[in-house]
Amino acid sequence: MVPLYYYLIFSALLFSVGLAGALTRRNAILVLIGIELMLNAANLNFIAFWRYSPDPEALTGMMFVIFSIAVAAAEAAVGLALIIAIYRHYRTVDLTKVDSLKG
Amino acid sequence: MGITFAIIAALTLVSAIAAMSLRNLVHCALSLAVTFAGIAAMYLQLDAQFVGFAQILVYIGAVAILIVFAILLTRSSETPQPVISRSWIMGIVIALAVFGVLTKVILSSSIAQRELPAKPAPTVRQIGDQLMTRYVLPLEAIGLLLTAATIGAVIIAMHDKKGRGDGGQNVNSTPSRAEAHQHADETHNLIT
Amino acid sequence: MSGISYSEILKLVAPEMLVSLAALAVLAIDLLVMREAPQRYRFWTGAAFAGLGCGLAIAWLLAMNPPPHSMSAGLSLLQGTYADDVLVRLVKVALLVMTLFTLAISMESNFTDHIGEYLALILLATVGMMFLVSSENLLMVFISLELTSLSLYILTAFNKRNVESAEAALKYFLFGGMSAAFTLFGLSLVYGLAGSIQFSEIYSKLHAAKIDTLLLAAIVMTVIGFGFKIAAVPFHLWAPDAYQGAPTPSAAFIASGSKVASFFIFAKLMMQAFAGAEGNGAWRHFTPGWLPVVATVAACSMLLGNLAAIVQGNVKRLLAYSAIAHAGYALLGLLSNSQQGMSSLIYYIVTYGLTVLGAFGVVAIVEERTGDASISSFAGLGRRQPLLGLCMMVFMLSLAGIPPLAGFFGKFYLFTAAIGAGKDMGMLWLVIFAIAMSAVSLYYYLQVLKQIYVVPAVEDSRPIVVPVSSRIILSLLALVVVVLGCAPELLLGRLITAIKLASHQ
Repeated sequence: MVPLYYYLIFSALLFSVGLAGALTRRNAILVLIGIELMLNAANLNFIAFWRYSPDPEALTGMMFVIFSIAVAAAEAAVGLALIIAIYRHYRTVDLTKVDSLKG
Repeated sequence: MGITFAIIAALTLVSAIAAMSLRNLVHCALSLAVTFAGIAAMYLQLDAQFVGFAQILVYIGAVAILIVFAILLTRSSETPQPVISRSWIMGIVIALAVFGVLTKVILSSSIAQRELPAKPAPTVRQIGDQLMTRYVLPLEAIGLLLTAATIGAVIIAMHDKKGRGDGGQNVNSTPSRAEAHQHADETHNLIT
Repeated sequence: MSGISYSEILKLVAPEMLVSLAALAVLAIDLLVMREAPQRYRFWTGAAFAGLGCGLAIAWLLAMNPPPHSMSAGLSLLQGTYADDVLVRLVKVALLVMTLFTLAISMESNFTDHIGEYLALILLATVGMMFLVSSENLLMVFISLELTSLSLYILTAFNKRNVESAEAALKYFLFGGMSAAFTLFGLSLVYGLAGSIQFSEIYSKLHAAKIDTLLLAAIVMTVIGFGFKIAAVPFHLWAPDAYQGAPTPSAAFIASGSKVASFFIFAKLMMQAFAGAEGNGAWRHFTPGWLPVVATVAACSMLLGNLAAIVQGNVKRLLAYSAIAHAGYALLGLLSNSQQGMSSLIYYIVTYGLTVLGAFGVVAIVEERTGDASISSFAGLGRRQPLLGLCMMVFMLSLAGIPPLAGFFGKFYLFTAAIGAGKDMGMLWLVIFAIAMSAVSLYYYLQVLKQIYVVPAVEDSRPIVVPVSSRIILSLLALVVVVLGCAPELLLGRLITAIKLASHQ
């Protein structure tokens, strides 16, 4: 039987991969992909904790994930709409070239 | 059981790293779909069938496809490989630090040794019941959230009549967005 | 279906429902009836319906009897999902008032053709904030936080002719998405440790056990998420760009309403779920863990916000950095971790929200007439439009914390609460630091006033024409700031009784 911490460490790893990508890549779409990976890692945590909780019949963690999947889909839609709006103005989605706002 | 976990985990991890580091954006999106599928397989392994299928429907069916659409619409399939710069090193260091700290606290925590309880068998009916009783307010809030996101995504991605651009984009982008929401809404209808 | 009655639920969430219905009504009317009408009439009609919805919700909140302490049988299943006590109602009324003022200051601007959608999204964001302050479990917190944030990202991008608006929205969104991921990961760890997502159960589980290191990681990740929402250093990077690029009314709404709701739920989560006593008595006896984290964040915010504000040449950017500094001060109320701290925090953040709404209202008019929001475009405002200059003076001095304005008393109560907190005045160092930083902040607020009253207008010194409605609204806001400063007990007294009542439940 796989112990709980295997799942937790795996999701921490997935979270870090997403974070590293979101921090280092300069393409807005790739940053969004990184964020999606981080959200997925959190969801995996919820399911793992739910399965290993003393009372899995309560369904709490599972319900949380059902809701957060819907939230993530909405977030992706809004994010990609914003990226398209940016592309219309700048003709690029490279974040280093999107810098008209400065202090 | 352990071997299945190892195979799924390795596959998911490799595709996640690929999604974050490949040069061609379409390849990134495809690797992302594989990652999502791997996570769905993990949900199945954890006896959460419903969530596993919702994951496939929403993430692979909607989010990954949406990302492919965005890549094609912005014509940005090629992107420069990350160059080793100061900000690149900073990003990697931060991510490694987060991973290190998380691993350390997970291993030292008391919950690492938690026992696996007997296999639960949540039915779709139970989930539906919960959604209409205990979780009825969150369900209401998420309905409003999807409404707001739909309105907003259409408005932002739409061409204004005054600002003439190439109209072809408009025709493609708006329905794709609406479709994604329909997916999300449908999963909700499915649940309830 | 046991233990649930939908008519009772409808009654419970009636204010939120009224506002959502108003949002749908505004959308429908604008699309079906007003499509061809001139922009001005569309805005007035839409805003009238939106205002009506908010007004009815306020009336409901004030007129209905305070709810009984325990939920009735039909709602027993919702126990621990949705809080409805006097304090929550008070904060909701404040949020709705801010929404009304936001609607009022957007009336004169014409940055979008999608008026119905704009107003509907403001209302949906308001519903998100109302749900947020009522949340009593992590799921509600997450969903309503996302409802608010998504609406605000879209409101930021609403000026489609302007490049900066889209850029600001994208940056706001990317930082926001990342912080949402951190929050969700933190919440998942809390769920794993406590086995529950309800504040009260989390408290009783975690309070009994020894502090797990994993819990500390979970708290840090949650603080990162909320630190972003309240724009505290080092999660503030989005704020200056978002404030500058967003249409001014949207920026005003981000700075006021969403701040109030996020601070309230942040304080509630920290004080109730992660430390506080539930069921009886005062909030006391904190578990160390989040206090040092929050104290560091507060000190950094005050330092960086105030120093960076000095060199800004754009008033919207200046207000953004001042917002970062104010988030630092307000965190002092959270740090004192007491009923007194909570009441002073709410008083401070509500008066701050009203002041900053007024300031953005003035900026919106000046920006509309002169074309940009740089400090130099305020030159000679005192002569070109004396009333506007006077209102701006009240707002700036209140932000700087000059007596007898609301900002002064807000700071005063916060600092007293923080000094009195804990044993042997442990927070004294931070209070002294905060006072020193307030003195620094006076410099850049006076810089704006110097432009308004001392520097003469450059070429164009004709008087600025301001419609009567805007004058009334801005004077009203300035009056509120003065009155709340002269008679703080009007709001503070109610807050203190409400907090006492809420904590006895």
